[in-house]
Amino acid sequence: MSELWATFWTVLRDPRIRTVLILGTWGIVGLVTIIAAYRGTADLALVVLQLPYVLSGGLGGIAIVGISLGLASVHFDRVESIEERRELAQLHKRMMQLTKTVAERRSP
Amino acid sequence: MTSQTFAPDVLEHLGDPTTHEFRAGSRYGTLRAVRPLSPVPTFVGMAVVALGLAVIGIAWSRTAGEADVSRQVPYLISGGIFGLAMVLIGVTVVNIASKRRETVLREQQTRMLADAVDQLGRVLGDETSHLPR
Repeated sequence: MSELWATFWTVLRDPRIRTVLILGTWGIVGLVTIIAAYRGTADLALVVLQLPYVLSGGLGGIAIVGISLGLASVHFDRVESIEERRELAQLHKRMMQLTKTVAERRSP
Repeated sequence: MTSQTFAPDVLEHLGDPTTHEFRAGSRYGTLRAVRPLSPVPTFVGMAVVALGLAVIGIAWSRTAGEADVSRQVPYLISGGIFGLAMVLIGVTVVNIASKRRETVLREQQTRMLADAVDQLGRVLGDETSHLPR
């Protein structure tokens, strides 16, 4: 059990996973807000009382979902880009080492 | 295979690849704020998002205080829909700024790699290594 917690905690400490969890939570909060707005308006018969729900819950919920999805897109792009740049840097370093070795062997 | 001699500056240049510097965005001149590596567009995008949320909040508070639908609808459109548009625009600006930055960093590394390949070509005596890319 403690091993499971240790594994769970290690996974949670990874900043990439933490960011995805936070953004996912915000997305769910946005959806819940929209559902709450729907439940609020469904119980009302007057449009004048429904419109504040539309604004706060409906449009506000869409805004929160849009923000979380946009930032998630930025996050995934950055994670992929970091991995790619790390591999390119290693390749570049290896090439320079190879070039240096060949040059040293060929120099008088 | 012919023996090759190399000038000292060639060997000297084959130093630590991690110290290569590359000035990106030089074609933007004095417009530093719109350079790909500038953090300004990201902050502008975040500010637009915050402003959009604030506008939605103000529209909600004003709408809740009105008893007439005909007075609420203008708040809905100007505050609600416009605020939502501002939020989406701000998120898009942040997204584009991030993509531009990553593109420039990738270009930097690709050029460094191309330079390394050219150097290897020169070291190996490849005649095509001096041709323009």
